Amino acid sequence: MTSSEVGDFCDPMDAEIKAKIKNLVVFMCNECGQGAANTAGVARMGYDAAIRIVRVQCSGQVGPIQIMDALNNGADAVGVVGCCLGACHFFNGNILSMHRIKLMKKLFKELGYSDQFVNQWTARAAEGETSVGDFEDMVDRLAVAIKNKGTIKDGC
Amino acid sequence: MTKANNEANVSELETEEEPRIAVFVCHCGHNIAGTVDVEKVAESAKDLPNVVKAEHYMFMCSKTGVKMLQDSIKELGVNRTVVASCSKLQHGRTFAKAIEEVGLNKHKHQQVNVREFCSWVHKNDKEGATQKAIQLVEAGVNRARKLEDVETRKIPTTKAALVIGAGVAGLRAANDLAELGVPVTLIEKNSTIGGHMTQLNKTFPTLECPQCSISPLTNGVANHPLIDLYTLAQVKNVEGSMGNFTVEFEIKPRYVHDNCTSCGECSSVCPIEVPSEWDKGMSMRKAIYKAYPQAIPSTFVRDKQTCIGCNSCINVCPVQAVDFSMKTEKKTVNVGSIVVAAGFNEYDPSEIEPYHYGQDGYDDVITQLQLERMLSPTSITNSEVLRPSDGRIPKNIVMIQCVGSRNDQVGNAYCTGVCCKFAIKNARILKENYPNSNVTICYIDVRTPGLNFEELYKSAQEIGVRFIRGRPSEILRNPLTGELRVIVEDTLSMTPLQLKGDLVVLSAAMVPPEGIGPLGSRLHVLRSKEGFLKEFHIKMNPTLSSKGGIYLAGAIQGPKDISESVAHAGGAAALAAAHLVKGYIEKEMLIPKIDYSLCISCGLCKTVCAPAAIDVDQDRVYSVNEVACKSCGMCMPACPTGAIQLINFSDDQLRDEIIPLSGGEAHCHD
Repeated sequence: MTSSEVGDFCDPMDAEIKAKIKNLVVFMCNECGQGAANTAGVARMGYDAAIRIVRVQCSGQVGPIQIMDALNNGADAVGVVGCCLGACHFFNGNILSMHRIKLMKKLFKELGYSDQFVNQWTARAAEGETSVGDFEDMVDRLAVAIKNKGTIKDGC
Repeated sequence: MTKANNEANVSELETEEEPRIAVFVCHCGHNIAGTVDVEKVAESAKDLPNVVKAEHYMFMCSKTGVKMLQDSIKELGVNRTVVASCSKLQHGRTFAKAIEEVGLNKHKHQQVNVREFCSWVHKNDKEGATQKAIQLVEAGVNRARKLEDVETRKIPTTKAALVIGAGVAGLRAANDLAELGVPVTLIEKNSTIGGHMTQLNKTFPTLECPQCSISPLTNGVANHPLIDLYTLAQVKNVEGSMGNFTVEFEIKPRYVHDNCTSCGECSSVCPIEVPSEWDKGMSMRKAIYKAYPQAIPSTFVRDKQTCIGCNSCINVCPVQAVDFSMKTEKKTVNVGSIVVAAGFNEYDPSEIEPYHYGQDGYDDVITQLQLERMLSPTSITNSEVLRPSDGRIPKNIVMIQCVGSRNDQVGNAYCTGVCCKFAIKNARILKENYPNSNVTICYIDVRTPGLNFEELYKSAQEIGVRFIRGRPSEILRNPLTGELRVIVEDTLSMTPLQLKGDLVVLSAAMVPPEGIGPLGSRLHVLRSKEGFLKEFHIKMNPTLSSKGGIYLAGAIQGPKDISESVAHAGGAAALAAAHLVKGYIEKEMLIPKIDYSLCISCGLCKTVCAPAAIDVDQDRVYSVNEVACKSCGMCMPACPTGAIQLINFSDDQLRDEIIPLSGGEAHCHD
């Protein structure tokens, strides 16, 4: 795309950027996370094929090691999905995870990368659209980050 | 080949530690095959290391499919299976059971979800879906390679339970447990059992006598052969985990032996008089006393703090039951479950300055529980409502709702949920008893959900109780006449009002009982931000606390009315009895392992562990309590050295799964 087309670039460029996103690793907890993704599947709600779901026991199980493993091996971004706040099946894992993700974001920012490398969401097992919303948000945020900062992989 | 032979073969293979993986890709009719090129997926899996067989089949969950799975184990010596089909929830268990039948540990099966997570959601992107399925299967194979056996262990339990608190919830739980054949130790902080329910005049919505409703329960519990009741007792120390707790508790002396006939001679000669706690200060009691006539246990009790030691009670007692030399006792019990039914406290409104509760000249500002005590048949006023200041019958009675609840200033954002109901009930009783009086309720919202409560509200409106929507800003006192006025704005008609209040009744909130903090930390259970003990899951498990084996009953989990408390307590008792009646806990040992060569004894894993499943001894050696552990893995990221690893979810195993999903080979970084 040339710079002369900048005027009406929004949508086509977004689509182009989104097509570049190949692997998004999403850690979903065994309770509401997996439940919501299953419900979304059963209801045939479509989402981006770049989403790769990893089953973990609780979102509180996901730490910097898992996040860095994914990014080092080529993932475009990492998402962590847990139960709604106050409804963690392991008591407070989602809140612990929230703090950890916050720290990771801060770390990425300080290192000069985009803080959209990693994000956390919640989902409700009974509502598949919550997980689909999480996935769409993940792709959108990444697309914006790439637009603003160039490809995230370049920084890697 | 016989079954025994197969098992021998399998165990031989396992000792060799060579993973032999069989991959099956399911078509699920057109559900998967319609979007994903299953042949291509199976073909790609063939080239992966350690894969000895990769096939695709129409319905893996069918008998033939399951037989294919089992045959691969029998014939090819496969020791790990991967099935790419539906979710773990749907058929994961089917395949796990199938491999267990032929002698493999069920945790050696890896389920890959290519239906809900792939084919069903990427219907319009067949190429992307196939690529994703290939990656998912590769990740599944990688994950399967290092799967370990997880044993299921039976842990024997101690068939006994401890119930803390003998209010209506605690009594119900103790009674239900005892009826299920579980010996119960019931401990109560106060000198009598029955809790707040015994203080009430009438219960809503049917206006029944609470004393009559609860006395079968109190009598039943006090005389039950399987229930040991201890009053004036408090928990001091709790050790152990679900199924096997050791609880140490302290029993304060009563100074009166059990042979007391409750004749009351001691009380009549006692020279000391103090306001009665049970009667909410509406009457006086002696230093040796019985809280109320129907109290159980009916033994008198001496209040050591106020007693002057004149010995008149000792001299007058006809059965020599009074004994000042009694000492504090300590007792230890072994139990399998603990039910916490510590109840609630009425909020102390003196914290809210504009209402002047408990201040000089504001004697006529009382709480609903004090009003209940005045209305009650056992009250000192003979069920008459009299102004505490001058003993006259009040003409204008104003009730103020939401005192201490729905109030961010005092830190209680929650709605107690029962104040509207009891205020309406009391207003109706007042209006019935004194038809000429004016009863006004100042409310924010009237909340009367549930069967029969709307009718109660309506009946109060019909009988002439006045409802004003607005939270009063202040209670003013005329210094000359001593008359009280409630300043409130009727927010429906936007008119500021000054209501004459001969008697002002504050509907105080339900707050966590005093001493809940130390009790919570002794039990190792977590508390909500309001200070109540937090339930394990608000919807699915409202009776379990954050720690397995400790259950919550009644208002200790959050404000509740009597019927809710009783129902909650029944649920708690059933859960508490389940593993005691069965005699054992069956637990999968899916627990973290600690590598002691890496452990630096920092204790971070212990700080994040919600079920308090990490133990530490005096040499600072940390260990995992395999019974208490809930297999969440929260301790893993907390560990700075990676010493603690959840079995089958270790960093190593997760990395193997993450690599193909992230797009393949590791890039060079450093």
